[in-house]
Amino acid sequence: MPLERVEAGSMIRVEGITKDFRIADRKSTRAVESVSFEVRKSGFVSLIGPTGCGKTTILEIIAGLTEPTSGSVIKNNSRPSMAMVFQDYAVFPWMNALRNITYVLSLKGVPKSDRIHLAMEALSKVGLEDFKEYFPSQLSGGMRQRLAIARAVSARPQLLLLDEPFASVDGLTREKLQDLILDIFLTTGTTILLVTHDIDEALYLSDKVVVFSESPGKVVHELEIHLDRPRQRHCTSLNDYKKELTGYMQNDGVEHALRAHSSKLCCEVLQ
Amino acid sequence: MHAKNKNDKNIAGEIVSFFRFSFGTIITGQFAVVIIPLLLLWEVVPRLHLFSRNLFPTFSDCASAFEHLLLHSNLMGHIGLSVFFFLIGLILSVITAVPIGILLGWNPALRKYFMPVFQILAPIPPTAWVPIALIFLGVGFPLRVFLVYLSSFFPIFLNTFQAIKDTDRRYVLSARVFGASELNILIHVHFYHALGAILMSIRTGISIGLIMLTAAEMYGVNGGLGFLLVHSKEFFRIPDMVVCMAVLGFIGWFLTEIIKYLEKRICLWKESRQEA
Repeated sequence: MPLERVEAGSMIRVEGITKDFRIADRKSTRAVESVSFEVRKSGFVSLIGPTGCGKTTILEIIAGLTEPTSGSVIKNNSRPSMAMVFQDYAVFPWMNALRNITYVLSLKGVPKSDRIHLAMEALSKVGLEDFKEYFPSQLSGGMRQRLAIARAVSARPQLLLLDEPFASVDGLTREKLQDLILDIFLTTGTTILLVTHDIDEALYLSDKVVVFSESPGKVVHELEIHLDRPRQRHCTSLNDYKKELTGYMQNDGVEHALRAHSSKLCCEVLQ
Repeated sequence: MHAKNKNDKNIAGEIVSFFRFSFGTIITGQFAVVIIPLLLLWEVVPRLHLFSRNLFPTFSDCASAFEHLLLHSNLMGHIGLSVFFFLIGLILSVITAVPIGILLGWNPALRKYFMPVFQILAPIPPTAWVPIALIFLGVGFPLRVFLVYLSSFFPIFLNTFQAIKDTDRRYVLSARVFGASELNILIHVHFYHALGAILMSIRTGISIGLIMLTAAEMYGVNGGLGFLLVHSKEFFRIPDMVVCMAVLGFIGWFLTEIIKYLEKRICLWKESRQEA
């Protein structure tokens, strides 16, 4: 019975995913190795780790953009509607702000008559309603990323994938964008999976932080954060979590994983 | 009726703004500062009798040759012939090279089958086709169209192919995550991503096509600017030759400006932020 309840509350479950890449004729390299974690429905999960640990690969596998070498992604719903925000504003430069959104709505099968209305709603949610005629090249970096977020949430996805969406904007803009995402999360109940290398960001936003180690990417630790939102940035309780996380990230992740593994083995032997 | 009127006005306005766009870059005070002394120099130097004036005509000699050709030698007819066949060849190559380039750039399977064919044919210099084309097509109009077509096909095809193939992966992926079909991505992502490069390649096609048009017209046809050029040479009329060269240059420039204007009007997103 309890097992089933977990099933029902789960949005996606990543189970033992391994992905190998082969570049030209060189021997293949392992990007991620037997990665498993769960994202609960209406949860906010962050994947954190150093650059090149395969976090983005995991996200692309979940989005269905690449196939894992082994392992699987178990989705609660057979095809949950997904949207993704990329690191470098992948809004289409040849469409103006409004068209960027109506195009996505058309892909989602929204009838033509509703598209403009829904798109304007999404634009005003991110404060871009006065810029609907502007092309991305005419917007600032932060505005472009807001447009990307508006585009992603306009179709009301069940699962929102964010691939380091705030990495290329300045600090102040980043905090504003984080609050925007948080607001969307709290008001719509969308499930969010965020990839980041910023510990503060992960702690400020998420329910659960999954820590990755480097090449090949492995899950070193999962940390649940039991704090109410909105959280104070840099409050003492967050700092405690931060110390714990930093510890996991600074120590050699592989060593950690091995230690965990060997202790598990010991347990098994003892049993 | 009302709508039609408005439409007419739009077309007229479009033409006016095209001329402003194209000639606007030439008819400027800054350029006048450069061109007027150059023309004066051209006018004065041949009069110093360093060379025979027959070999080195002045600007006014060329201008009067232009007038003479216009009034007595059917210059407009030659221009019309050249432009007509040039445009047929160019349009044929645009409507074949662009779709083939898009298809092969988009579909890796098709690319594997057909790309080598084009890779083998492309490096053959268009001028090397002249003798064989002469045998099969004779010296008439098909030769001109064929050579213009052939020479402009490859730059347009190859650049379109490359631009489609090099579409930024992020754009393709983001459309795919939102559930776009591959055909939808081709139309809404690949095509627009490549549009600037496609228009640019047509400009390259124009310049290479003009080279081959001139070459084709030098072979025994009796009409067109290339013919007039060779014909003038036979009568040693250097001013006439200069006029032909200038007219050919003008045609190339004018057609290029049309493409540039199209790019400005279609690719609105390339106009970045302007200061108010």
